[in-house]
Amino acid sequence: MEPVLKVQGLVVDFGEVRAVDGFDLSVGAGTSVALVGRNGAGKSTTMRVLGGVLPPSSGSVVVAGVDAARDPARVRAAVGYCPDVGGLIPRATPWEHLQLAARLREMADGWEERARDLLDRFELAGVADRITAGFSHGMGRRLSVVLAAFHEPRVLLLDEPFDGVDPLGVDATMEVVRQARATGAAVLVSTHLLHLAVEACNEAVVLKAGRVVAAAPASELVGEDGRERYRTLIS
Amino acid sequence: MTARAQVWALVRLRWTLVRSPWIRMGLLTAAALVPYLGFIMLIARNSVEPAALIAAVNAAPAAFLGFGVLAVVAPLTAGGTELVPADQLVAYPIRPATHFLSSLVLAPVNLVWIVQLLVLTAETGFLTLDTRYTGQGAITSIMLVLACTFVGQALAWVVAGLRRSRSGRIGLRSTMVLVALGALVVVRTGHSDDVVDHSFGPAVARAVTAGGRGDLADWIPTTVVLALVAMLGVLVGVHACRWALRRPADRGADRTSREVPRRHTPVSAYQALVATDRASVWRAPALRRGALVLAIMPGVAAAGVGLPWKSLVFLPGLVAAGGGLLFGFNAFCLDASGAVWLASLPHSPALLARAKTRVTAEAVLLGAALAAVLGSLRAVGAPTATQLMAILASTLGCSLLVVALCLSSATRKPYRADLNGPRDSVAPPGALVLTSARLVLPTALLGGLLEGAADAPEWWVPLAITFPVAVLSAVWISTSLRRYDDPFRRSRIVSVVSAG
Repeated sequence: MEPVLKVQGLVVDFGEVRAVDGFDLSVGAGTSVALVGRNGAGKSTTMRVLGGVLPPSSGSVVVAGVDAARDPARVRAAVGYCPDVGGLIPRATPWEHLQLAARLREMADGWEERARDLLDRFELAGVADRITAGFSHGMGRRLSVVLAAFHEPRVLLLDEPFDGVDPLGVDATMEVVRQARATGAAVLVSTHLLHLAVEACNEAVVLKAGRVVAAAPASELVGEDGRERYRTLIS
Repeated sequence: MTARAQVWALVRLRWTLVRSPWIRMGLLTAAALVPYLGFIMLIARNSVEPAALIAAVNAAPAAFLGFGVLAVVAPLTAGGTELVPADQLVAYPIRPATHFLSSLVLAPVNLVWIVQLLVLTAETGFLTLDTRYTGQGAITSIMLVLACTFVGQALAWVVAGLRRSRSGRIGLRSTMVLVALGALVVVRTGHSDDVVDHSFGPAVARAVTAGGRGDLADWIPTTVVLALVAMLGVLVGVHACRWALRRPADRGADRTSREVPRRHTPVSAYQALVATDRASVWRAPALRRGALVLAIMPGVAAAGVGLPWKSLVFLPGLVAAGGGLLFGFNAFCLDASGAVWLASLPHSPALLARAKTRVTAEAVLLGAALAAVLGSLRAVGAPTATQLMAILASTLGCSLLVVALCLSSATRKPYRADLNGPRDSVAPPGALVLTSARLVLPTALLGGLLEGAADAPEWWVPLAITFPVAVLSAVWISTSLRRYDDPFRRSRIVSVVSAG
C-alpha cells in the first residue's frame, strides 16, 4: 500500500550548516512514528519541512500522493502541524485561532462542534476567549495540538507536544494520536521524552546529525535495555 | 555591579547585536550628522534675512515648549525604552536604576527628538548672535533638553506604576480626558498663544537671550532651576522605576487575563486574516496608545497653532510616516511565533501579505486623513481649490508611499518583537531611528513639493505631481508582494519573527 507520507533524500542547509542530511522516511496509514534524537539532530527542522513552513534544499516530500514541491497548498491542507515552540498568534484567542484555521482550511459548516469538543478535551474551553499571550507554556502546547488535529488531517505532525504539559494534557494528546491512527492518518511525533514517544508510537526513528541512524519498532526502546540502546545510538 | 556599569554592559551588548555593517554605519553616520547639522546651523545664522530672523526669534518660546511637551508625551505613548527586551533579562540581577538609565540612554535614539533638538539648536543660534556668549546661551538650552527628557522618562515610570492598580488606571484615564478636553477648549477658544505665554517657553527664551549677551543676572536663575529639575528628574525617575517594577499588578492590569468578546466568523480567509491583524494591533498596549496619539495629537496641535492652508499640505505626510513607524515596517512581527503555524496552513502566501498591507494602509491613511481634517478646522483663511487638492494629494500620495516603503522593509528586514507590554517596541532602537528617517525623508520631499504646488493657478497640478509617485508606489507594493511569494524569503521572515 502507498505510504501516506514519503520522504526521500531530504536535505536542509542553513548557509554552511547542514541541518538535515539525506533523511528518508515512509509512514503508512494508521501508523505513528516517533522521531527521537539529541538537541540539534534535525528533528524540528525536518518537521518544519514536512509542515510546509521551510522549503527543503533538496529531496522530495510526498503527502497523500501529492508532491510538496509541486502543490504545497494541497500538501498543507492534508497536514496538521504542531510547531516545537509557540506556534500561537499572541494577541488572538483560541477561538479566533480556530476561526482562522476554519476559514483558511475552507472547512464546512459545523466546524464549531469539533472545535468545542477539542477545547473541552484539552480543558481549554474556559479560556477560549482569552488571548494566548497570557497562557502558560503547557496551555500553549495543548492549544497547538488542538489546532493541528482540528481538521482531522491525513498527516499529523506533533513537535514536542508533551513539553511542559500536565498528565491530563498528555492523556488528551495520546487520545488524539490514537484517534488519528484509527482514522487512517499517519502520525509523526518528535519528542525528547522517550517513554512518552514509545507509548504514543508503534515505530521509532532515531536521528543523529541530520541523518537516520536507526529505525525500529518503538517497543525495542522500552525498558532499561531500550534506553541503553537509545543512548548508544545518539552518543 | 553598579547601575552605570550594567548600562554600559547592556549598551555594548546591544551594539554587538547590531550585526549588519550597514546599520552600524548608518547609526554612526546619524550620530555624527546631528552635531554637524547643529554646527552648520550656528554658522549659517548670520546669513539669515532680518525678517526671517525676527520670525524665528518670536517662535522660540513655542519651540522650547514644544520640545518639552514632546519629551514628556513621547515616553508615555511609545516603547523603544529598553536596551535589551525585558524578557531576555529576567535571569539577571538588573537594578531598577539600570532600567531607568537605559531609557535615558535611548531617549535621543528617536527622530522626533533629534529634529526637535536641531530646532532648539537653530533657535539658540538665533537668540545668541554674539558669538562670544553663544556657549553660555547654549548651556540653558542643554539644561532644558536634559530636564525635559529626564522628567519625561520619570513620568513614564510613574504612569507605568499607576497602571498596575484599578484606582491608578481610573486616575490616569480621567487625567487624559481632562487634558484632552483642556486642549480642545484652548484650541476652540483660540487661547493657544496664551498657553505658550504662560508656559516655561518665554522664560527659557529670555534666559538663552540673556546668556547670549553675557547678562549673568538674567541667565543664572533659569539655568540653575533647569539644572535642578534635571537632577530631580533622575532621582525621581530611579525611585519611580523601582516603585513601578516592585508594585504588584492587580488582575485588571494584565489584559491577557481578560476575556474578549467573541466575534462572528469572518466570511472569507482574507477577512479572517485582516481581523486577526487588526486585533493584534489594537490589543498591543504600545501600539494602541501610539495609534491613539497619532490619530489625535498632530491634528489637535495643527488646529491649536492655526496653520495656514498651504502649510497644512505638509502635515499628512509626516503623520503617514508616523503611522508606518507604528508597526507597518515590521508588520509580520504581529504574528510572532504564530507565524510558524500560519505558514503551515493551506492559503496563498500573497493573502497573508495583502492582509498585512491592508491593515498598515488603514493605520497610515486614517492617521493622515484625521490630521488633515482636524488641522483644517482652524486653518487660517479660506482655501483655494488647488490647496484643497494639494492636501488630498498629500494625504493619499504620502500614505501610498509609506505603505510601499513599509511593505518593502517588512519583507526585506523583519525583526522579532514582543508587543505584549506597554513599553515594548516594534523593532530595536537603532532600527527605529533609521526607519523613521527612511519614512520621513521621502514623505517630507513629496509634502514639500505639494506645498509648493499649492500656490499653482491650476487645481490639477498637485494631482499631476502625485500621480507618478502613486504609480511607483503601487509597482513597489506589487514587487514586495511578489518577493513574499518566494518560499525561502518567506521562511526567513517566519524564522525571524517567531524566534529571533
